[in-house]
Amino acid sequence: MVNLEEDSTNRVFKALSDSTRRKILQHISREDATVTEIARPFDVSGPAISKHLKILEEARLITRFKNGTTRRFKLNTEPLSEAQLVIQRLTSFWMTRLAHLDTFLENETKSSKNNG
Amino acid sequence: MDKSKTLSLLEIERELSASREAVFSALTQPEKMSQWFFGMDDGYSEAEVDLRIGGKYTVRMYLPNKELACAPHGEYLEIDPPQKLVFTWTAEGFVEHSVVTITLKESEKGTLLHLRHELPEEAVAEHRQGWIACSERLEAFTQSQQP
Repeated sequence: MVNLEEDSTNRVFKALSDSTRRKILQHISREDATVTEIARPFDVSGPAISKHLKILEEARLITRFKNGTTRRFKLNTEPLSEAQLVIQRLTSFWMTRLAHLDTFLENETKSSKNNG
Repeated sequence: MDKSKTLSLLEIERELSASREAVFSALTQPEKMSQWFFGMDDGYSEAEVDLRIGGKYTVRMYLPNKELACAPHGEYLEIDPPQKLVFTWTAEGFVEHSVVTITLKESEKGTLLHLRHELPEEAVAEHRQGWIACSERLEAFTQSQQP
């Protein structure tokens, strides 16, 4: 189970590492969209957009659904929190270290004042 | 795929009531690093530092029961006292070959420390196995210390 979760986090990271895909996500987060609508702001080929969408789908950041005869994509925010969790952990790691650095420096200043 | 692409960026600022020289020294002198890095209330650490460009550092972070929790290590990329320190940061299973840039600016209180941790795409992707080993061990312990 743990490995499955780790794999999916890697896919989320990979998906988010590209600026075009981040823009696609921003677009879809505002409203559901078709492939044509998603491709419109970008100066890239149809297959290139399809490839980006596939990567986003594999990361479960977007899901496709049928609306009548058209296929549309919508955002799935659930895996995002996994990626953010990793960053959050590292942030809390550094916050704790820097709080300790602060305490250390305060003690150091006090003891140097006491000594002279 | 472009390997240099930045996966993620973590930025933290903290004001410290000490001169930039004192902060820089605490960031780079092993006997000082081992005191603040993990040596407050949550364990103890040992630091080894070869402070020169390309020189290596290691901080071994131990839990009070002497179990090694984490051992971040890396290489100095830029050393510009008392204003800038850049080093790679690897902790097995945590992240690999990420880059930490610390800049120190004079402030009213003393020093404004800015820490920027860049995580390239491959830093996390292939080395997730020990993430739990490192970060969760620390986290679990920190939580157990809270009242």
